[in-house]
Amino acid sequence: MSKKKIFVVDDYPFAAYATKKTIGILSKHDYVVVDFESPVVLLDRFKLEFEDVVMVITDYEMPNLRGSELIEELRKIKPDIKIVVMSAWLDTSTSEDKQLIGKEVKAQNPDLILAKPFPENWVNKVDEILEEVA
Amino acid sequence: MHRLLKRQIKQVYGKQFDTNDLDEKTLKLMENITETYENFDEEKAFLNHTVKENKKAIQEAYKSMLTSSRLAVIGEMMENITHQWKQPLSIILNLVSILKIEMKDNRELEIIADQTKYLNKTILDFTNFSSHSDQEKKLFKLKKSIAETIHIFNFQATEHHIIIKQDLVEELVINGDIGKFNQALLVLFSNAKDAFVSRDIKERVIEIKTEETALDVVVSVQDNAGGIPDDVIDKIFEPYFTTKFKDKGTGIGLSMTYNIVQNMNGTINVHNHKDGTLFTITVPKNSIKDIHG
Repeated sequence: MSKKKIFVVDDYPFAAYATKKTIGILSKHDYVVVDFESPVVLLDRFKLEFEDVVMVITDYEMPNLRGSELIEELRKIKPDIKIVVMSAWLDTSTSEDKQLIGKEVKAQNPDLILAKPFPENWVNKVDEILEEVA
Repeated sequence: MHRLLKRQIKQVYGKQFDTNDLDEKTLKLMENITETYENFDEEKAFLNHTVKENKKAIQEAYKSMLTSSRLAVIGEMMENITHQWKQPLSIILNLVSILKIEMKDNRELEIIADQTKYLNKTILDFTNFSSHSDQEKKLFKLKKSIAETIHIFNFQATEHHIIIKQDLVEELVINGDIGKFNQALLVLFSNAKDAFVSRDIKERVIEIKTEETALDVVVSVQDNAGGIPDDVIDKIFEPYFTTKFKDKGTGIGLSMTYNIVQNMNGTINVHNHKDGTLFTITVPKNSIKDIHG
């Protein structure tokens, strides 16, 4: 049986890479973490490997495919996929369209929402969700 | 005969001219013209005055519009900067947390981690003040807010020998977040304190007064600390504008007050009045019945 996987996507250079590395080292679990800079590429890969992927960690505001659309597509393929949304627009935003992003993210009902920069214990929170699928 | 007409006749015909030489009809006509002219003059003065007043009102409205649009632009800019900074900060913090595992007890790394956290905290502080996502609007008694604020400020007032005079109308109720409104008032008190101290004012008095109009509640805070120089008074509500020494002011206080009042659908104005600064906050009035009903 092949190893279970986590996909991470963020269009901001190195953001997905840093997230991948951090999970790889700090997580109690042993997953293969794959990082992407394009949600479209992630989706293509997910179509092939969805059986092994237990969690997708995604940025929300991305060109080509927005977080909401990506989540929708992922769930169509695998309804019980664990979703973690990360965004730099959460919490401090004052403008209305940015606040809408916050509401939109919550409406997607992800398993975890991470505001950037991540809180110190964020990997623990990811671990807790991974425990549910273990 | 009309004084003005007499003068005109003298001017035109000379001193020796006898008005009896004019026939009654002509005289009447002249008198009538004089009167009309005088009325016209009064009208003109009145119009002039009205135009001046209107011009002043328009100028003030324009000024406050400029201020709020400038604030909006600056706020948006800050938000974008914060957003841009969060991305690299997030990456750095993540990578540092990994390196900390790999290189235990590395002092340099600890310093990088602390400094990055400090950067993060700073941008959060600077953006939180303009955030109103956590704001909860509720009806509250103005007198309660003022009492709470004075209570917080009391320590400083005693230490710096500041007398606070209150002239408050009972039972005024306004709508907003009482904690934020307290902060807004505290900024005014605290700025007055700074001015008292830096200018070494001897008799230090802050007067807080509340009044009600048909629709609004007016809170005025007057100090006797010497006022604000004319060349900066228009800028004091702008974020990050400060006249204080760098270690004393971030320039956030008054812009925070401005934002809080604006979020309550109110306005705040500043004038140099008597021997100090007068801040006037106007917010919509609610009735005491609303608070229970």
